[in-house]
Amino acid sequence: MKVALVGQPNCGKSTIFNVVAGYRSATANFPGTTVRIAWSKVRLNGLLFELVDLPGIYSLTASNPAEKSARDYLLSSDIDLIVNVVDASLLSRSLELTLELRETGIPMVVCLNMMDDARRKGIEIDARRLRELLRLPVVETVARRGVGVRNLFTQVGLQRGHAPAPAEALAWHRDVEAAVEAMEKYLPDGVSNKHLSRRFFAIKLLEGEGDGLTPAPTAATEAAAEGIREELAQMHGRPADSVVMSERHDRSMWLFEQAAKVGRPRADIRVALDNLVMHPVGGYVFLLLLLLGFFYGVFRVGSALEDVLLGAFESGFAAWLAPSLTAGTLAHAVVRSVWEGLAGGAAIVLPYLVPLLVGLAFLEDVGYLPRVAYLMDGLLHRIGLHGTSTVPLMLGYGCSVPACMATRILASRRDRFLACVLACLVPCSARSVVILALVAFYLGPLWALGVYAFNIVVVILAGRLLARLWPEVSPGMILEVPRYQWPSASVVVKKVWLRLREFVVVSWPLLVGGSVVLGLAEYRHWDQVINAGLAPLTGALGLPVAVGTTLIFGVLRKELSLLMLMQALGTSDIGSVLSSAQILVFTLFITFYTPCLATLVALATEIGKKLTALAVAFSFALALLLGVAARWLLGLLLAG
Amino acid sequence: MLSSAPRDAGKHVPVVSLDQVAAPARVRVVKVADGRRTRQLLAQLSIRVGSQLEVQRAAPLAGPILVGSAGSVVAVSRGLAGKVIVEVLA
Repeated sequence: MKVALVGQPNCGKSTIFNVVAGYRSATANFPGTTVRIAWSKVRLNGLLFELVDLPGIYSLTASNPAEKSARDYLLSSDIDLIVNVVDASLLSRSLELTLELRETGIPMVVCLNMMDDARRKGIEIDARRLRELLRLPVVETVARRGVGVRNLFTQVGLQRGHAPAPAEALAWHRDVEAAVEAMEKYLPDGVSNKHLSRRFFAIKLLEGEGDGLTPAPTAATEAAAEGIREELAQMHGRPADSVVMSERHDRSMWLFEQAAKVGRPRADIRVALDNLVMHPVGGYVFLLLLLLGFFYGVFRVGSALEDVLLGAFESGFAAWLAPSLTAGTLAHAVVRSVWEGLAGGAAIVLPYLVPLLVGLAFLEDVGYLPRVAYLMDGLLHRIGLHGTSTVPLMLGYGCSVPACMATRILASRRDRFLACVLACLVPCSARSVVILALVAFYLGPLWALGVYAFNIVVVILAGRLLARLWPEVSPGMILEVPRYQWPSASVVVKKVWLRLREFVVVSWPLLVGGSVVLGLAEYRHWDQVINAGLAPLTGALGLPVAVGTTLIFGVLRKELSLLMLMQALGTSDIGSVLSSAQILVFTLFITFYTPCLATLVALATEIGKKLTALAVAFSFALALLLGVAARWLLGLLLAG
Repeated sequence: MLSSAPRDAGKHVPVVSLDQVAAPARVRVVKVADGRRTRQLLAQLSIRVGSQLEVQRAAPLAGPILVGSAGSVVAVSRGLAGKVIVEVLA
């Protein structure tokens, strides 16, 4: 049976999904983490479930692409049952969606999640009373700890095929009910979608939300709906959709009063924490210190490990492999390349990547990102975006692919384009590896800090430029700021692994393969042809001609360019062959130029091929401009 | 913090837009200006005519206003807040 997890953003749908399906749908403590539909087959209590994790929706009125995909899925697929996940600590508001989902006529189970948080807030919920009033099964869970989830699926199995029974207590005011009934009469007989009720069609038409319904309403039905809407609007002095929404609001308030008691919230340190984190001055100081500490910590851990591991790989090659190989032979070239590919992944990428991902996972789960959005909204307005874009931009420090996907929580196409382009300019973990392992390692951490700061300046200027080229009045931000949560260690580990697997399974083999290709190319002297072709570019940047091939590899994966650099130059001690200025120019160029292959695919999906081409051209031109300017400027500085 | 929509919200009361309210304050929404989309966007997070809101703080640099509404905390940008007309409660 097909079961859809439906609920408001950040109520724990993906957490429930992960409890039963294994960690597959990334979770975090901010609204809009899930932007695509996750799907899994699971066997539970002897039943086979097709479980679908949908992006969070506040109502069935979609206001951004992520919500629209959830709504469209709900209305067009043959779902056997809805599990309506409710954040129990936000019961009164969440019940409005519960009532709206109930209107669909699809069998349904209500899952009261985060019961622990509700109690902490002093909200006591009488689940039995709620069940009686809603006439739906209500199950209490604390999904984060796996509590109640098995029971939830027992209820799901029992409820299959049972459409919600009519509940008189949930009826609306008589005049609005009359309008719904009148609307139902105008629906043609054919309107009985396999799983959606006639009442649901009627209500949606009354709200003026007819698009996306199948079968689509006829012109005659629409005309009738228009008439009924106007009548209702006249009676109430406001638009019909507002009247309907008030009815749901009214009923959910009533339900809440009947089934819940609000007492005193327990004293909570988290309120005091917000006084610091969101302070008009202290908040920014905290953010700055946190980011500094974060990247410095990653660098310290990474460089310490890199030193040890790189040494171990070098001496390993000399001790085990070199004696049985003759230098200058094909076998030597191949074995050496494979070894370097392995060493690059284990000794250079992983030492930086793992701490970076752990830190980022922690920040996501603790609920800090929406607070950054609050702090940055004013600044982002100046570059033509708003605070909601903070989430993609911050995720950009991890990986550009999820960052581009996260732009689905933005409503306007133009905002999504801007956020995508800017998020791709932010150094992702792969590029951070380049910055930390090259600039911080050879020139010192302060120089790396300079690269990050310079990057932020460029992102701001690029944003201003693009916003000027594509002006639009932004609808503005409205973002829920969730409660802090102490991240669960096992979830952080699973999340890091989910993202790390991408490197281990996809990039690392590519790295070893790329290393062999480059080794062979060098052996056969093909690399000279490529390098000669790219000579104008490397020449303009003031880099050795041998660096040319590495830039090509960088398009596959950004971290490849660093490792290929070592191979192309024939040493892992870059500092001995490149000058400080060259290291900086190389890093700057790698940071800004064309996004990697995986990102290009994600970009094409999110903003279309045309805009992707534009984004690529923009970032390449920007990288070239900055590279040449940096070469010239550093040349002056270091010569003087 | 709970609210219900009164059907007689049209009396003469001293009103300001939400972005003009000095935090901390308790306010009641009397009108949401602007079109259907904005109205729905705000209503989804329980900012609608009749709702009581707790204005908690305002971010610097013309940043958003932080309001408590129906048990949750919501950041509303200055622009949107300007469209929410409220009366300040004692």
